[in-house]
Amino acid sequence: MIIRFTLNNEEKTVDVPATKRVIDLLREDFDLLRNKVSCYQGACGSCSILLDNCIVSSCSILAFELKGRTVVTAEGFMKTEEYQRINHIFQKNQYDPCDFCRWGKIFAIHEFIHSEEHIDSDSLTRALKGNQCNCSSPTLLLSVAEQIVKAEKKINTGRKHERTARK
Amino acid sequence: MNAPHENSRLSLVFTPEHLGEALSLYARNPGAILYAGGTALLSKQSERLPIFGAPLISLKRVEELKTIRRYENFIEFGAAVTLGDILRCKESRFLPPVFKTAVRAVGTPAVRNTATIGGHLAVTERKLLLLPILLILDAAVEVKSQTTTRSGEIKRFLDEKNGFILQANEIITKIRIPTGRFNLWGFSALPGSVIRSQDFFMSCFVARKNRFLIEKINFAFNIDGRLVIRIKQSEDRLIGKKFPLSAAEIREEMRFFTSKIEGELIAPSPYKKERIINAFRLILTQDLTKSGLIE
Repeated sequence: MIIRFTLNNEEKTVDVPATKRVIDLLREDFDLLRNKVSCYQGACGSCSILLDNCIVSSCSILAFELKGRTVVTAEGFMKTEEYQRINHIFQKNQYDPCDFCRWGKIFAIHEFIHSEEHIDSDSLTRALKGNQCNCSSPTLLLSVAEQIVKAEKKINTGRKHERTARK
Repeated sequence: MNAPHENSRLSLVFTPEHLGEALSLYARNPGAILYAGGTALLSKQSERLPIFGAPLISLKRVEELKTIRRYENFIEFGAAVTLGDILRCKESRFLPPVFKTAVRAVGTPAVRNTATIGGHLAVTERKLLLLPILLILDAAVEVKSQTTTRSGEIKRFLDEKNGFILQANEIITKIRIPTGRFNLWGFSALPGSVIRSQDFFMSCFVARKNRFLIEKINFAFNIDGRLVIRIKQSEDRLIGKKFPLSAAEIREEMRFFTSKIEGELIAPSPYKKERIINAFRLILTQDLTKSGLIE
């Protein structure tokens, strides 16, 4: 099956079996290795990517579903300013998750930043629920996530006000 | 029409873009598997390269199944709308809080961005989290085949065990959720996953009160994803009662409810029957004098 989609801001065309799992497509056909594969059940979060800017488990998405859609992997997100700010807060708090869970957690935080959910420990805990690795302190993760979300929402609010003022 | 995609022995996949096309394909391929979000289907696949043994008809690109519309008394979702999109849409602020809370409890954000509301209802192996919620909200569905259209409250589509039943070649097309009918609600689900846990239990209720009197109350329980229980006679007995109930009234309602559970319930262990009875007691002993979430 020939699939055309956008991958990390570039138009791509690939010929693969229609039911190939997207995590395998990304790792085998595009050599994008930062997103890992572990459970093949959509439970652990290590294969998380952004599909149309929403977090999904790429082991639970099949190739034919990518047609005409936009995919961002770890490699693509690393080039964004948002990632630089997230990583800075990680480093400031000495929070360094392992390579298996790092991107699941980052994309979960990204999803929360762009949601309308109230920022509290319950909603943050729910948002981070899909990541099962315990390489690092869950309490520290919550604290770091809260700092990131508050900082990013402040930036987004500032940008909205600027756009309104310009109108 | 999009040509199907096939690779020798691997799965044949159709990706229709319009409902008529999808219904026609399903009529011509009655053994085909409908693929919406795919979360339930893929959870059963152990192979790296899933092989389904039947053609897939993907509903993801069908325009008519992705709409969200708000009407005066209800919000209508196309069956292929994902649970994540339901939470993000601008209409979500009009949704019953019990429904939004239950949607947030489904899986993880990644699962909710893939799973669809129609697929959630259509899963046959287990009765998932939102089925009891939609039942107590008196939600309605529309199902279509190439030649027929049926619609009505969800309870009309349930069998005697409250499982959702579709006839040959039917697809769920729309789900309608009433708004503004209830001003009290409660929801709890333990533990987290109805698909993975053999000990899952969920209870939910909605009610409309006018000052201290209950005008309407609906409640339901989901046991292990295998049984959805709703005792209509118990609901009817509470209408017109003043809350909080007296101790004698609570005893009487517990006696009636327990007799129904003991007499009619199939399968659950004594432990699980006890859980249902305790959950009902919790509903009865709520103050119900203030609106909002009661856990």
